[in-house]
Amino acid sequence: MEHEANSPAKRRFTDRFHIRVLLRLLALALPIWAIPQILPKLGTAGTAYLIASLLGFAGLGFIVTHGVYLVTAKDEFQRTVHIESILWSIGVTFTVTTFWGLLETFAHIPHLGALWICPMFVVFMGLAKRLVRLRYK
Amino acid sequence: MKNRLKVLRAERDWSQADLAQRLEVSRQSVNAIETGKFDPSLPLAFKLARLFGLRIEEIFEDERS
Repeated sequence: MEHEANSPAKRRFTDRFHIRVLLRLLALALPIWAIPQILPKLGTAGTAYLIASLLGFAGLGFIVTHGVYLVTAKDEFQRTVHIESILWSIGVTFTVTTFWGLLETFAHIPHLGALWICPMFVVFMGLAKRLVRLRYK
Repeated sequence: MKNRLKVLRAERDWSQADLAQRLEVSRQSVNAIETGKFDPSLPLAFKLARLFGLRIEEIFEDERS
């Protein structure tokens, strides 16, 4: 018998999480650092599409990993905490991006690239998970 | 939902971790159920009942009744 903290579902989630973080860092670093340097030399927008799609697939991987965890996790309490954290994070991310978007349009504040939305979601989810756990203590 | 988990656990001299291991859930789950902050699903409630050799209504109390 294994606790959820050591369960196969949790281990798989943690492994996938680390791979996903590496992919995301790579996918974030490439467009920001490499595109301005590579693109003028190659002279093709196709390269930008290719690199940008890395970011897209990392985002898809993020959703799939969480989905697999929710399906395979046997501990219903941990699953509930995870779901509540995702919902809180979605809510806060929507609020912040809507707020920022309106200010961008009407108050002309600096542009926030869409590629920052997913990392923002991950940070909010980490914070939400701690708060949700406190609620059940 | 009120429950007698803490008493039943104490009668058997089980820690929250012991009960969690028997239920195949985390210790946090047992704590959340025990303090009434999280209501278990029907399958988990049946598992608890089987473990203690009691009926579900002998462990959990509907506060509205």
